Amino acid sequence: MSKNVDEHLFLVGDNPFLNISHLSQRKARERSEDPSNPAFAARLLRLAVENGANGFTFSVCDSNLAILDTLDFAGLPDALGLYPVVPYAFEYVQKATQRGGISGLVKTLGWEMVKSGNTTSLVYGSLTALTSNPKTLMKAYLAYELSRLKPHLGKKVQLRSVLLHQLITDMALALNLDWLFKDYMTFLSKKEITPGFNTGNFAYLVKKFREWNIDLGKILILAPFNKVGFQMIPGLEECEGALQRIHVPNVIALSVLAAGYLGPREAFEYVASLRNIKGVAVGVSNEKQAMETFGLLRKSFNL
Amino acid sequence: MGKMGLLHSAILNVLPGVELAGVCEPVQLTRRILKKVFRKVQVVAGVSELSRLKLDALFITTPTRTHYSVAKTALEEGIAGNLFVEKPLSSSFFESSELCDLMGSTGVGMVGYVRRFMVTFMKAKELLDEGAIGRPLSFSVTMRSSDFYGITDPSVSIARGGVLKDLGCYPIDLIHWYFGDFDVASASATSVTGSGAVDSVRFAVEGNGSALSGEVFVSWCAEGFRMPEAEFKVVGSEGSLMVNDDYVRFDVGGKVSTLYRLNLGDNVPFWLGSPEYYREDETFVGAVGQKVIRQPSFDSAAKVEFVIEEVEKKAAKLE
Repeated sequence: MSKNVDEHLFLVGDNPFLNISHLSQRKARERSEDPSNPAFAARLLRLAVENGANGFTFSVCDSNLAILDTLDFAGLPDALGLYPVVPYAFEYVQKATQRGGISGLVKTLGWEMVKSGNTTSLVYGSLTALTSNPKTLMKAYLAYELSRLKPHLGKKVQLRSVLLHQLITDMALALNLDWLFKDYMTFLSKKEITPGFNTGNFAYLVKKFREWNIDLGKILILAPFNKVGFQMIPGLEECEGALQRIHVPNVIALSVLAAGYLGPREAFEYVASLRNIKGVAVGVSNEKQAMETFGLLRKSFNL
Repeated sequence: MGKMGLLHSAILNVLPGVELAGVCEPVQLTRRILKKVFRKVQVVAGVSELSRLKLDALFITTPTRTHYSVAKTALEEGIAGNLFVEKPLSSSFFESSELCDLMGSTGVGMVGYVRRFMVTFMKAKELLDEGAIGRPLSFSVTMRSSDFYGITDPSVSIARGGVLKDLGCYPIDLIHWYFGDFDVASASATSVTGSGAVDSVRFAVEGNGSALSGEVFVSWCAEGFRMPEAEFKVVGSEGSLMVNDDYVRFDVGGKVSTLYRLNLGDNVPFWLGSPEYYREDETFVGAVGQKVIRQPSFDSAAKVEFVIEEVEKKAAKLE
């Protein structure tokens, strides 16, 4: 696959690998084949890449990193682009529960940063303890997450973007933390990594970023777009309108199948008809899906 | 300032007509960080310090064991006349009753039983009230999470007050909401993480003055639950119904219908966590503005503590 064809991003999403279904968690638990098994997930990922996917977007957690460890890159024509999402909010919420709240979580995370031996993380972490500065806290955390990814990168696996998790993006949007978005972008841009934001409030994010003079051309946005308006907040029309107005094709559509409610053909045709869509992220939970999904996606985009 | 405090603060900040005025955080380092995060908001160390802000309402999202003292201080010192308290209202029926008395009819008190604002459970309530499955005869409820799955240290489980207060309060509130008052017939409790912890509880209930009977099972040591999940099954005289966090399914005369969240108009103006949190906060703020009581009120939440204590008594007798 040539580079110019890959102007569009067709990313394998990790929801099935984490046993997540936004339609029915019961259904996710009752799958006959277990896509959360790293070896099986790695096989699905490879099949998807062989059949048209050109990247992987995933929450940075041990099970997803194990997939990258297991993945066989031999014979793959192009490098796999990574689009990790940080932090894996669920993992941190669970850790907070099991370790007696936020203070227990902070202690655990601090210890993990120390164990990682990442100098940047430790310097920013120490600065946070001294100055209580949330900006250095964010940098310490980002440096730690990047250090977790580093051993998995190479010629065949390249880090293209790091995306801020939906929960953090939307919380920061709601609390008007423009400095957080700007500092996040500066930190990653200095490392030549495209900053990205996963949001459930796409129209609101576009409005706020305009108010804050944040250059939408320098970021990737991961947001729900589907024919039935599933998880499109506040509604389908508002999100489509905001998409029309951004002038930059930098949006990766999520939830295009509306969690399995829509058939792939009609779902992909809808998303391909939208202006400013850079690509699509979609999960696969079996071999048939891994082989067929991305070819169909490319066809919908006339590629 | 835990995760629920952050969540509610953020939602309140986007709700029309609401201003986030102050945040209370006892830990000094966290407070210093919060002062730099919430630049236009007062960050204080103690609840009493909030009195100078002349608040319309206070959200209490502290650990359950402190709900009572914080709410009592807020009401007695006039810090805020309207309170939203995360579930459960307090650690005991005695404390909750006192909070109900203190609140009286002067302000709005609401408790964070968020499933009442989930579209699937709302639809199930509508179907039951319409008599879609006829007269309810029996039900079973499960509430499960993997929060303590594989954990062998009971200390955190014990410190959180056990699974019944943490998760069990949800099905109890749902049963009250769907069917009204009920009696606890029998109960048993199990320790999974270690001695002294209450990690799973099973109890049977009977309708107060009706033939309705039900079973409840609660565990936070279940395998494979990414998030806590509730599942409620009801058998009626003309059909059956099953509702969980994702969909509601009902069978009337062999005709099965399934309605997912996306069929039920789940979108809200701003999405944080899940749409039900926005609906919950919007309902509370609306109630404060209109000076009207909305459910789940302090009074209905206090009934949950009453049932928890009944279950604990019955389970203790068995041991």
